[in-house]
Amino acid sequence: MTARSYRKLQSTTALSRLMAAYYLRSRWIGRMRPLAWVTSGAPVEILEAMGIASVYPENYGALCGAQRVATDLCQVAEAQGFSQDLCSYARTSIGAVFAPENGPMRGLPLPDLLIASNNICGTVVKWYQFLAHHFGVPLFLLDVPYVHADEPPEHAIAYVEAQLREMIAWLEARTRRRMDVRRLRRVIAYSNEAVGLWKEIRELCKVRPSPLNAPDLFVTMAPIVVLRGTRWAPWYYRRLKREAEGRVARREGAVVDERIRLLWDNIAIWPRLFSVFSAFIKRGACFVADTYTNAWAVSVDADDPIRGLALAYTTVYINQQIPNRARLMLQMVRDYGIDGAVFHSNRSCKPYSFGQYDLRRILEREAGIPTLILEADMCDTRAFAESQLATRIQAFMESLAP
Amino acid sequence: MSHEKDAIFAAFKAAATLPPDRWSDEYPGQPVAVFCSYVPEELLHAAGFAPVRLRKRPSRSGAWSEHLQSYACPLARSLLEQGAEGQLAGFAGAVFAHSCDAMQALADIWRLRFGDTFAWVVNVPTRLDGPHSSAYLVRELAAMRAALERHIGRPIGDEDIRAGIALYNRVRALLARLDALRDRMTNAEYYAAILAAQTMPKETFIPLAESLIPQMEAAPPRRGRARIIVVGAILDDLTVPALADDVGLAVVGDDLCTGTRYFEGMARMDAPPLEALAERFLTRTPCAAKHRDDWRRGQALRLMAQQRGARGVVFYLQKFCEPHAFDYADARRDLEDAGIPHIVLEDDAGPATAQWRTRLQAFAEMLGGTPT
Repeated sequence: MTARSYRKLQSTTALSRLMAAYYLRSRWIGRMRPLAWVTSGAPVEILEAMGIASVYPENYGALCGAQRVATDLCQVAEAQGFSQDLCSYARTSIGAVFAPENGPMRGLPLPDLLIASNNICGTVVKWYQFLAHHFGVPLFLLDVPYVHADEPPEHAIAYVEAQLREMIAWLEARTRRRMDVRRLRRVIAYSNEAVGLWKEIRELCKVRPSPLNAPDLFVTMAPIVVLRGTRWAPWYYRRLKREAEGRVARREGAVVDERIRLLWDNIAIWPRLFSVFSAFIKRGACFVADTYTNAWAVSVDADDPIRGLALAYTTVYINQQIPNRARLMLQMVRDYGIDGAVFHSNRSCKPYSFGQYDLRRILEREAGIPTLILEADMCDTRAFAESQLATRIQAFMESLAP
Repeated sequence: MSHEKDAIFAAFKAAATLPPDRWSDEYPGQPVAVFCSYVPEELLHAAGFAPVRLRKRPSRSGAWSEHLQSYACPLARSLLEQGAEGQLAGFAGAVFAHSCDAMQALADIWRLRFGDTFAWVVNVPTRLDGPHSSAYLVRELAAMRAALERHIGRPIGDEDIRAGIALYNRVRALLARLDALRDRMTNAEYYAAILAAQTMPKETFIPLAESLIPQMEAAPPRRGRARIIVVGAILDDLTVPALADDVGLAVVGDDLCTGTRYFEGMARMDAPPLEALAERFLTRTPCAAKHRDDWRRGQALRLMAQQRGARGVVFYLQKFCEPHAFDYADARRDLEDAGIPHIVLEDDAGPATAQWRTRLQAFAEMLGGTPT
């Protein structure tokens, strides 16, 4: 991205420091124990309230993707019998388990516990089963039924709620730490504060020109995932929000000379994050909304925390049926003044990608906007050809702004 | 009524290969498409329908590509194509069960595309052994019962469901007896029977199987074949069993959704019927998309190999099937530790007969089988 066409966020320095401290801290806490490996949709507030440290293999996968070491780690996993058709976060993480020396920070600190929730995909069930067998550590699977209706049925929420209570007892038995409900409320308050700020930051992008572009959000979403429930997430998002508000006040867009407003669907193409988005930026297109970073915008009812967590973690975006996703996208098109939508058809993320062809038709039909499908992968650079992406982006942009 | 075994096997083979658009030409009743072995067929039967398990068929029109990417598994692609081509026009509806990410998406897409027909998803829990799994699954089964009642416009009584369970238990018992007689049959004969049981109305299948079993009990065992186990999601046609026959391999056990997992375990007659159905689903060998704390596919395969005297394992995998690809990577280590050789056959667009024959032949030679 050229300096001329794109405004760099000043608060990124604070983010880099925060994330470096986070990874350093997890190595240190990794020695203190207990340490859990958790999926991105796991109810980390419970762990945080019990003083159990957590690290996120998916976030590590994204980091490896962005640092362009994921493909090599995938090949390590493939040599161990993991198919090239499997999720590249899973392969990257498993590759780093077998060859930690090839990954950033020499891999993640080893886990005492594993907490997986299938509210993001079925892949994590299998991935964590393997980790449990490999490390010989216990796994708790929080089974969150997929919402095949407008709203989750009451018995599904009750099922998740009962499992959250079971999970607390399970953790107490394995870590000799007690759940303190007051502390849980405080953690949820931090979590809600971060989620609230994150929502407000994303909503600032309704303004023309938008103060932020989707790649900004992809980079700045790390704390909402890995530091949710700590005071550090709101600490950082207050800074980011101030900066975005400043841009709004000065009528400064993330993209200089913003002419086209786009919607992004699916996880980022991490190893090509800047080259893909540059192709849009240089034509004056800004991604003012996306479905991915929206996944962490659900707050928890602090008065009834367990039920609140059950509801929040059941209704995350990709745990919802395609018509519900379409409703949210159509809402975004209206609220953010969207001119077109780009779907990353991500070979690695089947539950996010299957249904995109129908979503695209719904958006074209009901919102009358053009759409583009980019066939790629979030980490594995062997799964797509960059030049084809460039050609397709160019053709799409020419159709939008001839 | 007595039938000669050759005529019975011919009928089974015809059923096993019957395209869905010809189902009503062959059998009485109102068919409903079933997409998974976790669909409670007993409930559909109680509502007056004939559940028919749909299988992957070679792609003709490519109509799936309107809705699914090419990295969807061939089963999901084919099921969608069969629907889009109108091959299910004679069916009263379709029932899904929650299993993997592909089937989850297919259920959504299906209801968008075929919204005017009855389509239901039983959200079977992923955790099979949790303390709350059973209560939740019973509620899901009750929701399906209520949806069926709304659809047919009359209540479905406990007695109706119990009658369905009794009928299906009879079928399961017959399939278990056939399983015990595998050494008297070719692989293709055995799997034709198993697939026929999932295609024919149960009332048609039962007398044929009852007539076949005593004849097979009287038949001499086939000797000299190398004994193997087949593991995977679906075995959609008879290509692999027939190739195994050709090269001297005997499939003496399997861990397949359209094989043993379909008929394993009885549903209790002395429990409330929905609880009995839930209990059977939660305790049978789990699908690879499911989770049970104390269970590993590799260990289960080792045990099965030991119990059934199998010397090798064939992984029959669908391209892009994540749950089984993960299980393969995990289970192969358990098998290697136990000194059990294995091979992988991957199915994408249809049977890769020539390659599979070569691989199975080499495997048979390694295990020491004699072609029949």
